[in-house]
Amino acid sequence: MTHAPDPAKSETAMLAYYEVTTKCNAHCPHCTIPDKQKYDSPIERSFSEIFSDFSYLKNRLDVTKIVLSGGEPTLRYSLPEMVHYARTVFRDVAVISNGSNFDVLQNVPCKKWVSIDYYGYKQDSYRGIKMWDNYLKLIKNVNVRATMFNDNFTDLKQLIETTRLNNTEITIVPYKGTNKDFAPSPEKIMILTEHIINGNYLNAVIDDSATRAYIASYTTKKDFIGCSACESIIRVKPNGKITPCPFLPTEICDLYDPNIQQKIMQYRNQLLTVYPEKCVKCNMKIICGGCKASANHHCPITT
Amino acid sequence: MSKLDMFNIKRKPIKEVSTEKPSNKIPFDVTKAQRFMDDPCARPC
Repeated sequence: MTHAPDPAKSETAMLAYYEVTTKCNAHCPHCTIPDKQKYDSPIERSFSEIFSDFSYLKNRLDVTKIVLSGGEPTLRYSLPEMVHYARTVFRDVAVISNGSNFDVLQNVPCKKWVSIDYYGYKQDSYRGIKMWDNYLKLIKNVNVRATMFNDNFTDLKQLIETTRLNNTEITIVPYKGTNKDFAPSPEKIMILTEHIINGNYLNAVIDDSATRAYIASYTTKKDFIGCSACESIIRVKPNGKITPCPFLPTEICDLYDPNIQQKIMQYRNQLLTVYPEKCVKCNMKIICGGCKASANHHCPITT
Repeated sequence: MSKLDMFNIKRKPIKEVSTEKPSNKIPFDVTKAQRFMDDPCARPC
């Protein structure tokens, strides 16, 4: 079954995940960037490329929101200047960082997110960087993006409480890779969803198609919600290639391809017709879209 | 009964729902869950 584009969604502002470098100082076990690109020969957009890209994204693809990420974006010491410029081009600007580079991160003039999966110094051990103390120093000024694994349920509850106490936000994304050993269980997804909603944690959300399907299974309204790839989000890699979302690796085309809009649309149509194995027989995929970037081992709907 | 059937209250007669075990009742207020549905994958901004 295919889905016609939703007119309401078509009006949704386009958001670009824009990766300024592949360079990174962390050692996250679930990272998909090759070590060579992280530690030895990073790929980076030059400052002049970045300036051109921003104008092009706005004028050609109607991007109004941009998220600067990496790799680790704060390893580009000119990140604050990039953000300053981005703010003159886009309506909304945000940065996602691993939190290790306090000096740069504190001077970034936009909404900031740090990736934190575990509570306390366990986080430093897991990612192989020192960031927890930096988080504590910036605790009222940075939001949290957390990956949910099979072993960090208690940590996530602590982070949810901590962010609420500090009037910041937390977005939780279940692990999307294929390694079942990393994936949270469907039961934990259900319990955490209920914990957030019943605890009235208005600052917290699980951003996940399977979780949306779980919630939608209790509602009578069954509108299509899922997959925004190539519709309202796009990713620009440091090599100047476009991919459908931060988690889907397929390079659609070069950012400056003369047929970029048609190619994005074609990929979108193609994307909507394929489902991960676990989703193929699930009726709820017509609502959640069946995240194409995830094996969806954690999905509470499919067994 | 599949999980989908257990969760999909629309498909069940009211009588049948009332005999469900407590664990199968709606575990949260769906009206408070809307933010989970809004703007998927585009939250950072």
